[in-house]
Amino acid sequence: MRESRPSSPRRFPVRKKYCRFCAEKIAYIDYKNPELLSRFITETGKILPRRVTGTCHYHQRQLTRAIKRARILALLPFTVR
Amino acid sequence: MEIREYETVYVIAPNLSDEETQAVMDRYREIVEANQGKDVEVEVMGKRKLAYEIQKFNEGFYVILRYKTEGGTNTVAELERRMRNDEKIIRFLTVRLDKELKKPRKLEEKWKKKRSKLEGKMESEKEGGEQ
Repeated sequence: MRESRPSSPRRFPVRKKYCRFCAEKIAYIDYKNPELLSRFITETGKILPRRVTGTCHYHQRQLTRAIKRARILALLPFTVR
Repeated sequence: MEIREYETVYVIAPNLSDEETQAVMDRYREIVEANQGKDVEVEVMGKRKLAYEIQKFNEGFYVILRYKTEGGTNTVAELERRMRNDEKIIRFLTVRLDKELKKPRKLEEKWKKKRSKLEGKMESEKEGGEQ
């Protein structure tokens, strides 16, 4: 079962998440850069959700598209078993 | 008709010699040029490992083709048709660049403006402090 989010005070402070692409001023996420994209997928090849990485809405959409394209070109895996 | 920018990434089979690979690259450049493609640029990404097997190959030679063409021409269609029928090409993907980069370019413009404004402000503050 998934851990429920504690609404009561957390045991440890959660680091404030921020959008890495906004911080680094990346306006366009290139699908030909698997080294960058691979930081946003799990070991099994799934795209990490925004709530985990803190990516903003605009960049998450770009990122998703970039990852999907990279998969078509075999720069990233669809799945890793 | 408006000018459209495209980018086609294609993967050449790894079992070709350097000369053959070069010949394939030259040929596709010519195909684009022969079909109303302008400002053709070829960028070689080189041999890379594939993330998964394609036609029993574990690596491929990646090439990026950038070009401009007017709307209503068959540049992309013809290029893709040729690639589909070429067993030396194991994968390709075409992206419409001008549409794709419209927003990011605007955003970059905005950031630049903001930065120069900020720098201007800092400059004037410095000057004010000295007086």
